[in-house]
Amino acid sequence: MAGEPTMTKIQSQLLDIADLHVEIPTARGMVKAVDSVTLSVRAGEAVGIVGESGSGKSMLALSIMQLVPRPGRIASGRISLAGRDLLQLSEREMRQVRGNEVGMIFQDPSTSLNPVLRVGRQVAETIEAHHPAADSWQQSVDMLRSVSIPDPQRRVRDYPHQYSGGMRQRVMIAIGMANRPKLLIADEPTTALDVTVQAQIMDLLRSMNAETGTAILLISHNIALVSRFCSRVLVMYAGRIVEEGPTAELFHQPKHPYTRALLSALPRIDRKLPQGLTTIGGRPPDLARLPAGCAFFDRCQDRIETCRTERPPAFSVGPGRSARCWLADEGKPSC
Amino acid sequence: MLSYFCKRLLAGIPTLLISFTLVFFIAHATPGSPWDSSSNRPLEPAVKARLDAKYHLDDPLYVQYVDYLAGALRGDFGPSFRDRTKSVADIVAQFLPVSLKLGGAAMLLAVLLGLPFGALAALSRHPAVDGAIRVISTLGISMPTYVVTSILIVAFGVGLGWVPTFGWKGLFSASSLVPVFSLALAPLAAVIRCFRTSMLEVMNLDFIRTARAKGLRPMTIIVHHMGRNALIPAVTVVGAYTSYILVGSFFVESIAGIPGFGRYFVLAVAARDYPVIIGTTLIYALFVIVINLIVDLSYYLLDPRVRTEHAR
Repeated sequence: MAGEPTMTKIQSQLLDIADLHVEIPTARGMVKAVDSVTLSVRAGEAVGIVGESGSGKSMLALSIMQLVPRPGRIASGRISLAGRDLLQLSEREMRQVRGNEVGMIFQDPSTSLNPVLRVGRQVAETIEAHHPAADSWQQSVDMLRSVSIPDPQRRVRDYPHQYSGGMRQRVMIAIGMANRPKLLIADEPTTALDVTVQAQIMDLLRSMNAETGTAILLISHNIALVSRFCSRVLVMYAGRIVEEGPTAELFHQPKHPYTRALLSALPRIDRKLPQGLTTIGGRPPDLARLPAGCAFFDRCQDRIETCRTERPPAFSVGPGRSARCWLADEGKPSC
Repeated sequence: MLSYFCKRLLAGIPTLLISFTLVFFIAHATPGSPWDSSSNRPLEPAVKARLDAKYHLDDPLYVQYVDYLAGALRGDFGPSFRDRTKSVADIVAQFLPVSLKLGGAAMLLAVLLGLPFGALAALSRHPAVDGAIRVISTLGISMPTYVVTSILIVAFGVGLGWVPTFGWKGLFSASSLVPVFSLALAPLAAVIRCFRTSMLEVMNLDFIRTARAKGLRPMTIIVHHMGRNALIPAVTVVGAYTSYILVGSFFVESIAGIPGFGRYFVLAVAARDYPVIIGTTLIYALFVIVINLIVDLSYYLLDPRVRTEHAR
């Protein structure tokens, strides 16, 4: 398919998130859904966020749009898009960012589209919300064509239930890309789809990325999918980024025990599995009662005593790489 | 699609026939006769017998049934026994329009106020707003109309003198305010409750999140995305109340002195005025059938998924 994203040469940071905290008050206490996350995406780049369900990756995505469902809220941090701090914007200004500068597509295309509105209307209203567009209907036909909906002139008048799951996700992509955003957030875009359709959707996202230079933040629990699509990967665990780095390096030489465990849980065709697939023992911690030390402590194979009591900072482990693990601190001895 | 509604319309015919039969036999099985006078001078038995003979009430019941059904099929429901100068058709023509106007205005009020208040109750972030609207709607559902009408007449008619306490001078006069509002209260409360519930369900659905992610204005999201979807269950409630409200309320019409259909129907039952009882009941059945059909038609218009099902 399309080669390297065309705009990766531009080194300017498009999205810059610094020390972001998202909290959800619950009966059990304050849930730290996103815990001091720092990440950046360059213009045109494809970045992946990997983590199991409940790791806070969807909350992170929604917080960029400032759509964290109540009573959750962004407690502190900075989210800047092309140099503008989004958290300082008024709700009205933020509306101009949503769907215009940042597009978003969601996990389940069968519930993400309004069942009683025509597909074309749902694309067109995205355009109309941001541009005085008399020809928004024609533009939505063009958008449907660009996401390879067959016979868009006619099918633009259909309702979502008349589309297949894969076509609905194409429509979601058309909506997300309708205003040529600088960034497209794809939150588990293929999880609800069957495997052959998954590949088509990822190909479509890749060509969108290459043709329009829109940066993509791909959020998935599917580490294989992310490794094929993204040039850089962040691994999220219990609301924190535990490891970050260029895809190839991170997957060949994972520094964090959680990343290693994730990778060894992956079925590989070139590897014999005498004792079946490896699983990660235990469960993710209760985000309302995070331990004082490392959040992965209970499940970690390589833990040392420091991990119990002290929360590891992000150690730099090479150019563009970091890991939140005491063992990654080259100054400390590993046991 | 058209054939579906034709079928539904035809299915209304047996419904009407069954209503006719039930009402005919129940009315005739009720003790008493049309000639029982409530006054102090009861009719002579001989006079009653002659009246029975004149109106064929001395025939065997099944003969009366067949005769009357034959007449009804021709649209002739005969004269009213209570007021023998008028036919049932005359009575319907005289009393139904008043109730239709009142009921229509009441339903319009219930929908026009119910939808915004229901939405407001669902969307308001202040618990007090939701609470107040819920208290009002609970009161509206639980208070009988005769209590509401009486209170309103005492307050606005007797106390403040803003509206007349009795009588009917047409829909666009102060005399219609109390009856319209009394009639509207129960459906209004029901519409508020139903629309509030369905808005609360819809507002957490995924496509609302999509709409927000598009950067749409809140009003667009509420009206086009939440409202359109939440309207579908509310239509059922509106339909259920419409046929009931349109034919008039005995209590409201009696208390406020409205010469309406609902009051006349109850008076006819009390007087064993068989032709009027049967005629008015059939009108009511017809309303229920037609309005249910309209409700189904509006599902068809509101929900494209229903359309596709019928197209198959």
